[in-house]
Amino acid sequence: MTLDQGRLDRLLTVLETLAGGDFSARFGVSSALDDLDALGYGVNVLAEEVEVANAERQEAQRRTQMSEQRLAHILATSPTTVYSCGATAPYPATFISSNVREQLGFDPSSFLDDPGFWASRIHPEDAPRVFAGLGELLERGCHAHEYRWQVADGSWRWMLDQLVLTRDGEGNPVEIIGSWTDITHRKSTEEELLRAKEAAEAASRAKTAFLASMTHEIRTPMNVILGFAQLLLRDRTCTAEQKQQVEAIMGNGERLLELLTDVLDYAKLEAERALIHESTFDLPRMLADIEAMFRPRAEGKGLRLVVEHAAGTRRFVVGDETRLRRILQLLLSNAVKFTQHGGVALRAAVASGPGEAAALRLVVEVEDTGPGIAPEEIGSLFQIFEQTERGRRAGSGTGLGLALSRRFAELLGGKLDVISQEGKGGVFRLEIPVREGTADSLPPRSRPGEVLEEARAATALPPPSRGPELRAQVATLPAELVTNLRQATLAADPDRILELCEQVDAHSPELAQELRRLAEGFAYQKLIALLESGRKTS
Amino acid sequence: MTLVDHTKTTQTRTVAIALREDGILHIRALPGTEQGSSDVAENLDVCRQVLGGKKAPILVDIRRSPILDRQGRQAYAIQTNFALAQAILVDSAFSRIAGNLFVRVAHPKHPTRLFTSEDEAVLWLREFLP
Repeated sequence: MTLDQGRLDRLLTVLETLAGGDFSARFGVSSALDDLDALGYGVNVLAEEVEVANAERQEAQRRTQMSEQRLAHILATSPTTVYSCGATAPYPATFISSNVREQLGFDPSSFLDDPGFWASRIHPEDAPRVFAGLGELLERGCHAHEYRWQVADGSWRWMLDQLVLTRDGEGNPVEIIGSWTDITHRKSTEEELLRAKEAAEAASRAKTAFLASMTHEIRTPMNVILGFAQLLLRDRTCTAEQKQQVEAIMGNGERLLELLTDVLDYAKLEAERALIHESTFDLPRMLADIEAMFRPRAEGKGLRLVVEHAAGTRRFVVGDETRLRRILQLLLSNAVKFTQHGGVALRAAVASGPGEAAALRLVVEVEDTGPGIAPEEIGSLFQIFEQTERGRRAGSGTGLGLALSRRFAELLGGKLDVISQEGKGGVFRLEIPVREGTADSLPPRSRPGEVLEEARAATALPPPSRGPELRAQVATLPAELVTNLRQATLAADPDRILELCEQVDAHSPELAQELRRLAEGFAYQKLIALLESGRKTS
Repeated sequence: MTLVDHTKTTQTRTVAIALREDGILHIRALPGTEQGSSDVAENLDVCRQVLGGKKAPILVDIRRSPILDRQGRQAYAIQTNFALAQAILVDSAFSRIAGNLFVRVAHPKHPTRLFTSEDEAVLWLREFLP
């Protein structure tokens, strides 16, 4: 083979150029494709690859540099300090972002040079929890905790520390990477909010207690006033004019008492002190009581009042009679108040309820031919202190009645809804769960043997013929029992009155029955009158 | 005996491409031609058309014209997704160097070996026939 010296020299020149760092030099391959060409071609290919690798390395360096600049800027301006540290105690720092100077007042070298620096400045109260949390980090791979840390000026700052654990290929812990965020401001805001919430709740409790207390305090003398007013009405020496004035006292006093009862109920509901007292009661009797209570008021306005219960409906049911009575009184009171023409009807029925056989549903509808409710007012009708435009114009009421009715219905596990059209009256529909009761489970005062008396008990006052008899029976009661009954009546505490009636039963079941009837009808002034008259008789 | 049916050979500016009866794709570099990027792209297209979307072992004969620039080497290494395996036929020092550089520098994705004997190359490629 003949060696072409010229081509060999050219190849050597290319190699020298490449060796000098210029990888753009190439050997011109001839068409002969001989060994020199093969050598030259090989050199060319390798030079090409080196040139490309160099370019790629330079580009990678440029990108790394830019990335590092971006990262440095982000770390310097971030509100969070980023760090890495060893995965075992004392967790020596291996990196910490430079913004730690602005955030905590320490130079990064403080952390990097002293392996125990971070741990030494954790608040002593928080340290056990913090180190326990690091144990969790080893188990779960990530963790976040909040603790107090002493910064350079000596003050304690709340830090949010969020950490992740890195592991090697075999799963061994290598390093912790974390970030610190100063959350002192957030913590103090949270504490302020908590204090404000507690203060607001305390104020609310105080307000409710005050409301209940004041209402109670006002009701007590009001009952006395009404009791004595009733005695005055019976005084034969009173002139007609004086009786009219006393009736005005009684009328206004009773309205005030109703209002106070509403407010007291509201206070109890707000304080969640309203309890359910279930017992067997005679549904038709209760409806008759209510009818007797409202008939004079309805007829006084020229309204028809119809109270019906569906044929075949159960007579004895188990439920909270007092609350049910209260709801129906509130609904009827509203219906009579706003109805000027036509009438008011109360219809009750007991239907089978879901679940167990004894579970029943008591459905009561109170319908009136009043002005109805505007569509835009229906939504807020059951809200506390909300009144319809008509209610506001009437200038009476507090906006509590319907709200209380619904809250009571819900307290009993039921519901209260309304269907009404403006100008076409309305229907309030109450549905509450009750259970089937029996005559045997009636409290002693309500046994069927006393049914004849119940018909008469439907009137607000005891029959005139029974008045002297009952007064005489009061006189036979122990003085302490009468005093306790008076105190319970003045305190408007029906539960206590009913409890004391158990003692009255031993002396006079008839008197006990009358006292219960008055207590369940919230007729405290009549109770006072009866007890006072009995005392005078004695 | 050759299994190449020359009546079914497709020829581009730089290579002749034919599908052998045994299912091996035969690519022969034409003498005295240096393949540029556009040549490589055209050659790859023709290969895909000839195979009709299937894959096959490839026998590449660069004995007569082994010169390939960097883009060509990269394209042949990466874009020959239709190749199950590739046997490169070489003979001279030049073609051996070119073939070796292709294998060592471009790192083709499919199994690739250099052969100086076509029979041995075919024997090896048949192992990859579907």
